[in-house]
Amino acid sequence: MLQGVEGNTSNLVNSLNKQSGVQQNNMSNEKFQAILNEVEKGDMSAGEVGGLINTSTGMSNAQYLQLQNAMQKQTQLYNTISNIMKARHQAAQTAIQNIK
Amino acid sequence: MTEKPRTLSRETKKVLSELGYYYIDKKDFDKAEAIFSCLANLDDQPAFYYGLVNVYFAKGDHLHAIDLCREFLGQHPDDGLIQAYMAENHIFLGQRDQARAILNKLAGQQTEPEVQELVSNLLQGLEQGLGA
Repeated sequence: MLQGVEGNTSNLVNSLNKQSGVQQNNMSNEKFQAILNEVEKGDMSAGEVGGLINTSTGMSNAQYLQLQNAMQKQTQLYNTISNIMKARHQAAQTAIQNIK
Repeated sequence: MTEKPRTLSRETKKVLSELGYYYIDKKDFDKAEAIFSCLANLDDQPAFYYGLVNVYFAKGDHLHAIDLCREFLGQHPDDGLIQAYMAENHIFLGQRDQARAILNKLAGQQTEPEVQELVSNLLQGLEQGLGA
């Protein structure tokens, strides 16, 4: 069992949050619940859901796209960091196996 | 009477190394450092230096980690993993250019698959803004 390499994740994730540029979404739980209720009521298209979110949060389409873009970048970086952690783990395991 | 130098079996060294990583995971860095330092003093094997570099990295002591990498590379200049670790510590100091130079050089060399994997992922991370 090799655990220490994963222990470094917090290091990486902390820096990730600084770099992603994703702004905090100020949507309150009540607003979110209201949107969820509307969505659950019936069939809504993605565009309609987007419009509902825009109305509730006061975000323009451009801001919404910007947020979406930043979130996508953050997800990509999370995936890369996850792969880095896996590679570090594998490297450490191999090193231990090669001990003479 | 002089004390005989201790010798450890291969299995003992492996178990102690695993224990060192366990302590890193538990953020008990003093114990992890003690284990890997003792092992490195007893037996000059790369795995123990990798462990020590990992201790300093996890502690956020990136300067110390880089110093240790440099010291190790003085004796083992072709060690790919220690170079990758050094690049990673440069990234966390915001020294992206130094990191990129090391990683690009490593990417063009023949190294172990796990080192190549780490190098390509670190380069990808740099492209995505890691350490910016």
